[in-house]
Amino acid sequence: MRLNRPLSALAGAALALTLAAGPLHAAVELYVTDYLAPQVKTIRPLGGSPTNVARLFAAPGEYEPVSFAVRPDARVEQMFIAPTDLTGPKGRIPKENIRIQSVESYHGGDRDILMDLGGPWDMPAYRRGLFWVTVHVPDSAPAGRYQGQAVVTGKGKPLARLTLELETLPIKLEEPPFALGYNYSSPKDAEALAAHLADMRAHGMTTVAPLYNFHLPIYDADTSELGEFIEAYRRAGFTQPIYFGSPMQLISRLAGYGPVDSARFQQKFLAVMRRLHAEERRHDTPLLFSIADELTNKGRPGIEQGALLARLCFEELPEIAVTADMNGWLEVTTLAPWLNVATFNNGWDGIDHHNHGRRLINREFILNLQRRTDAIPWFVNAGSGRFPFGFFFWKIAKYGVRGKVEWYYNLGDNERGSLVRAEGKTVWPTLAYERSREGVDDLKYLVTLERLLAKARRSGRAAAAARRAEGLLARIADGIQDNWTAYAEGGETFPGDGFDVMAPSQAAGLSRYQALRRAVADAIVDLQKALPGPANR
Amino acid sequence: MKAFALLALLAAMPLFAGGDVKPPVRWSADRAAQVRRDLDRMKRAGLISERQYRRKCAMLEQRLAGTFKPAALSHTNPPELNFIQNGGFEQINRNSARNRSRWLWWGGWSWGGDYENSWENRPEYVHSGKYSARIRCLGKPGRIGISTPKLPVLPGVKKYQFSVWAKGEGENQLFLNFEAGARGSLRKKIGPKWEQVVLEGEAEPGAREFTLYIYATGRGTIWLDDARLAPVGNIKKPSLRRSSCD
Repeated sequence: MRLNRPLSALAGAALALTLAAGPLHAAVELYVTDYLAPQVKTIRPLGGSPTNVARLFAAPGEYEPVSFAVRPDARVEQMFIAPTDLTGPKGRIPKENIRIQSVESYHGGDRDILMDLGGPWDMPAYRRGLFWVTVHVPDSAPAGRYQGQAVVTGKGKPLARLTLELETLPIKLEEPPFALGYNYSSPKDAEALAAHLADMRAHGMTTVAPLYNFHLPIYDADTSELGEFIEAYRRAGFTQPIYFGSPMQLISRLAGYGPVDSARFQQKFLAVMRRLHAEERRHDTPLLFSIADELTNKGRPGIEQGALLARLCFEELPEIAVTADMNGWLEVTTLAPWLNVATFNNGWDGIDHHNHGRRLINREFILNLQRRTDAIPWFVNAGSGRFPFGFFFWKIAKYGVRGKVEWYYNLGDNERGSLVRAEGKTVWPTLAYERSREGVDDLKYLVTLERLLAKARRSGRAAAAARRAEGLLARIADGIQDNWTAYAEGGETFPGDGFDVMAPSQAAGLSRYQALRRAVADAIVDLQKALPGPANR
Repeated sequence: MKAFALLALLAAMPLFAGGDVKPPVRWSADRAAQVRRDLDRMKRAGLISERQYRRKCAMLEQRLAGTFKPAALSHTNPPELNFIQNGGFEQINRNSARNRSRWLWWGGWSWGGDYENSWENRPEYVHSGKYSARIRCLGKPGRIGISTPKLPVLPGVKKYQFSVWAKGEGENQLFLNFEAGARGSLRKKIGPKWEQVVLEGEAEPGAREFTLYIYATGRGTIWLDDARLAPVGNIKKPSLRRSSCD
């Protein structure tokens, strides 16, 4: 039936009145979740029991997340969630330092993203929303307890609250002495570049690995984009050398000049590398040039090409620090003698199965590599997330690994594989990206404790606290397999079953992972107290 | 570790250069001093191990004395100028997807249709060597292609000739196309006897690179072998050695 316009308007108004009579502001279920758990609608409360009190601890300067789920039992119009200041006896952390974001679809799983809430929205009854709160503790925040809230409102009226209980620790976290970073594509925009570099730095990265979309001086001598990148990198405060990935494209980009063993290819290759190096010399930031990209994917012929190119660099370009992104045992062992740094992932058999099941990210291989060659081991594409960047890297770095570069900050037009969604200067992080920052923070806690321990040993003081710290570090190290295959292909998890370093009463309200970090933090505080001198507090 | 024995072998002999004996090259004192400064900088940055630092310094000494014999630097080029490597499709990648390139050096992509790329070793379907490339339509036609990497436009050279030996079955359709910096295309059905298909492409004004695509767009099967791509005309060796900015 088609109504005429006045009748239609009347019917619409009546319908609206009828529907509006339904409950708008009923009970809202809200509970803290584990941010390392899959962020799906069926997510369970952290620790099994629902609570709306989030217990956080962090050092000054640290970004610390907590996740929570919200589900109303009736429709909520104009829902919104906003933070309050965090206040305590010793000070205030302003609400501007608290970011509330919702989990939204992107590439699925840990590649879904966190987006700022923007404006209020209408929430259907029984729909579960997943959110993260990230607190950025100011560098100047005094140690102590702070409390505040994230308040859920409907049409401006409070409906539910997440209580944030933050303990700011009397700790200054140390920068890890490793190169940690992501592959990166040039945005061709100075402001976006600065924003991206600042974002990576705020996520604990100490290097960047420029790869795609950077100009290579093949048909001209223009190296200005590299120079501008180096300066932006320096301004952003990165502390380690740049992992310059773009030259790995030269094998393909110069393919028309001839095979790698031809004079034509080699002369062109050397000319391009020298131009890039000349730009490096104009700045005060060292570069590590990657010259090859996973040649195990090309079988033995590819590895022979790579070996020749690596040796060509060693002999003709000794002034350039050179590595290669490698993904197989034969490739690494063949190229490494000619490389400054051997960068590899866990490896695979290769297209012609020449590696016979050998894997690379394990204690035996890493030590053997350094016994047999001069190359310094780094990792590439060895996993993003909390464990690969944190406890696992800390353990395996004890065998000589000095860096880790991961795939990929901003791949193409926000393609699968990207760790953020970038639009100009705006960046939305994926869950994997945020969890990687937590891994780097774990690493910072561990490094800070180790440095303090070394100081205690040198000074001969605080012996009891040092023994306790040593015992804790040894226990954690023992709980980590020296072999990435156990985790990547063997079903091993960390922390493993029964691996706990805190009494259950102390660990209440913390995930098992956070309890582990808390134990390290407590050991730092313990040791600081036992060591004399203001520098240790 | 057996691979370390292999790398010792690789270290001992030039891999591709056919046993060329290179004359010793003496480096100037200035060059050696600059390299030494770079090595010291590398060391401060943690980018070189102590052992490699010593190895490179020892090499520098030999460079200065004129006694160092480079093993990797090539002084020769292939006898025939051909932009294409693996033009005979002899180096195959058995671990690749059937709708992507199955061959080293070549790229590949599918734009729909039901096709299978594969290597062929039946002698009557191989023009030379052990293998040819086979592109077979298994159902619905669409477009599948294999491509060269980006190839250089040589200074002053506009025209480039691509040739490939081809053999076909069924209602096939071969589509050759110069792209991304050059123009020129050819579409034809390939008959059951081996024939050499030739296409000339012309570089676009100002272009520095181009790509050549070999597509199959029809039904049936096409076999390809012995591909070649070279500049047209008399190319003097120096102009090839020296690219647009060398």
